Amino acid sequence: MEKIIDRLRHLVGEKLDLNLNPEEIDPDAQLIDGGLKLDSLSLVKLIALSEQEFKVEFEEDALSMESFASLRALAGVIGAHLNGRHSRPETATV
Amino acid sequence: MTLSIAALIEQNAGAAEKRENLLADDLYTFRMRELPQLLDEIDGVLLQAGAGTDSCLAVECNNSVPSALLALALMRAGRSFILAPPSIAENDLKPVPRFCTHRIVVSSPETATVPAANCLRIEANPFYNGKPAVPEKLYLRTSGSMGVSKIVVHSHASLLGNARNVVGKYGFTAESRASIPVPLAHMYGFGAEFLAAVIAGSSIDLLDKTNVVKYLDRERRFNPDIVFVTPSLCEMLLTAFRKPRTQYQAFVTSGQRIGEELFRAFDQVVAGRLINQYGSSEMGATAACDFDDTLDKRATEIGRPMEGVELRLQPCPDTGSELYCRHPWGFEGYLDEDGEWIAKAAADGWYRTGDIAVKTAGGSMIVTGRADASVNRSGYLVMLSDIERIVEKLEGVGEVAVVAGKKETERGQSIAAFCVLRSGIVLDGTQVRRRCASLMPPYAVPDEVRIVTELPLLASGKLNRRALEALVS
Repeated sequence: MEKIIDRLRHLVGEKLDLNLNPEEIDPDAQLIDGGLKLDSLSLVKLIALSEQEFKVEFEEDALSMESFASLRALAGVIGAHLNGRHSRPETATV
Repeated sequence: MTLSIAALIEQNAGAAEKRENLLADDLYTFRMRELPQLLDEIDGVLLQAGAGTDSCLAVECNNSVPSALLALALMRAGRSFILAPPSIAENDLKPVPRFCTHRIVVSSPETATVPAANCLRIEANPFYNGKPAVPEKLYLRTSGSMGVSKIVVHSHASLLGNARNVVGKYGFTAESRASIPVPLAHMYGFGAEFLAAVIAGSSIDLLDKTNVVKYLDRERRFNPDIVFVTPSLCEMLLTAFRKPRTQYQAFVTSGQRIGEELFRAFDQVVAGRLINQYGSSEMGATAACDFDDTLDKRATEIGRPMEGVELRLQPCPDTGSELYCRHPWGFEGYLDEDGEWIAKAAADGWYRTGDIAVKTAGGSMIVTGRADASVNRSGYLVMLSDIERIVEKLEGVGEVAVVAGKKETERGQSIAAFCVLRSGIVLDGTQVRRRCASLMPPYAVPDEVRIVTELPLLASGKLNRRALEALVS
């Protein structure tokens, strides 16, 4: 779980043009409304980057405010999947 | 038949097929039958705060039920008000026009136990200039993207006339479920979709600060069948919609021209129900294709004028033919911050849209560009001259010219700024760009800033914009 969070912090810090240092990103900070205040475009990018990074494909039900509440919540969704039973050879479905 | 909000509210609250319909947002869910009482409560709160019926109010509204109720209460009472988007920060409040007696900021409470009427923060405008309110007007700011905007004047009657056209065009009924993710503070969200849904007595769901995951959450809960969006939201939803949508009766886009490729891709996902509406703050909903038009037509043409609307092209030697519009429910003119007329709508009713268009063989029109130098970015019309005005005020910057590039970026057509620095100043493009970011909204920040020793000029001494455009192409 911590490894996933760490990779997500790097994605957010390095690829989202938010001027944030990965080490400074609080995994429990709210992603959208408060905390990191991701705008709608950054959120779309985060979805795409997460899918690439972890080789997963989110199903629509996983695309919810709850899943994207914080990096920890998102890591939980990704982690549950990676350990789960839905994997496909190349791309897994969350 | 003349429409009145007072009569519509009563009808919606009483008619069997409408009274259980919803007005909802992130927090609140009310039934149409509850609205008369809720509006009475808002009237009471306004009176208590000293905002009597002869006052003109500046409303900073978000996409919330309290905002919607306030607007309906004001229209029901025939009162005048300006709708503006919320200020970004508490310590950076937007200016209130001096002809307004009060500012009303609509806040979002933590829980729905807070009565909707208590979400209004009403304060007297210390700069009120004493101008008496003119009844039954709605004022809207033009979509000036840098805070340099004019105030568009509409009458309540013209707003409702405009919205009635929209009802017929997209088939709003009492069974419709309208989702509103576009700002209520603009003509498109308020004058087109919201008021159309009110006229039809449809259920309404207001989405504030929309993003794709919020949209999906609310779509699952509310199951909308009519929604007005921007092309940027279409683009984002395209990445989030993982399965086709068949429940939509109308997916309407407007606000900027939607790319043809995006139109076709999104239309496929929403089962051929995508329509691009042509309109403006001044003229409201002006034209749109019909659902039975071919995909080619819907993806490129502005479609059939709304009822009573006339369109014509006027040849213009420099730019091609400009599109003019005459609308039975058009605006009355522009006011300045003091409430004085800057310009009244033309006496013959023809309005210069500022768009360049060509006529198709079938008699419809295709908008090909803007007559003035502007670009569409993230759904906002950004005037390049507005960016220039901000950049030239930066410390160390002497002259500046801003041009549109040919490249498409995530936010729309690219923007490049060319700066000549004052002597002795050392700055690079990245530093200038960073300073821009703190002074303008993200969508307006030039994608590229180049430092040059001089700007190219024409023989006449005017700036040679074409030469700069060639440099960024």
